[in-house]
Amino acid sequence: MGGHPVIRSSTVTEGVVTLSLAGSRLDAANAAEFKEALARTIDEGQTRIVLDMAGIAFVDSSGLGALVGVLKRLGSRGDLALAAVQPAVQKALKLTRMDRVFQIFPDTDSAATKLRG
Amino acid sequence: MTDEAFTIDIVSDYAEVRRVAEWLADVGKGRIDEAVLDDLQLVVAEAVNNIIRHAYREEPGRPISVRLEIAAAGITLVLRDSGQAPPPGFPQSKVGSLEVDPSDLAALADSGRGLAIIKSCVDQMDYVRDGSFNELSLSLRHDGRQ
Repeated sequence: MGGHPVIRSSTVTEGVVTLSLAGSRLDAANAAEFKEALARTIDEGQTRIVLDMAGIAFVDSSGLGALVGVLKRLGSRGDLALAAVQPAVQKALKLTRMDRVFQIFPDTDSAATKLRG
Repeated sequence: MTDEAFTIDIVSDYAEVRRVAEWLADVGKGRIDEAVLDDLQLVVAEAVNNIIRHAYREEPGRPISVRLEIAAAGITLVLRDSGQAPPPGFPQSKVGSLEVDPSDLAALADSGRGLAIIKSCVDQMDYVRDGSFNELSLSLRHDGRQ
């Protein structure tokens, strides 16, 4: 763990922050770091968040748990959307019923548009 | 009868799971159907994470061996470690529910889905305590060979 930032880039446009994840996995090796990075983002007042998952080819239960943790931290204060979810990750979300919990969009633009509502 | 078997030895570090993933992708390529391989990637990650978290209590540097057996009857992953024995009835007794209520955010669990994910992806889970070793065999009867 450590050494590699879990967030590759962060762009704020019209009140919505789009975060692009670094690396190709969100798993037990970086889930805690991811959760902390997102907690900082939320605590800085960025509460409408789009996660660009385009580069993520694999998510395990620790990664899913971290995503759930972010959603719970946001609570009614904000919104979280997943964008550009890859097929293997989509499958893991479906298997764990998380596709019913998260808002999932084909790309970051449609996700950001929805969050701006 | 096992037609082919492959083994990788790693240590109890979550970063090592990525090495297992690369190994599995490598040995599975051309041998195992891609959709089955996706499931096996999830299964092996959850199984190794469980060993690190529960059998070794996150103590680093302890040995874990992962064996992939490919046979006409199916595919089996065998995980072996020398950590603490799991509670009686394992693994069935520790399988949680994957059901969720999207309207009740507070009740959503942050953890505890690992074994349920494994159970969803495989046909059979067998655990034996072999001396001071734990051995978990996870089998897919479905012939995922290419």
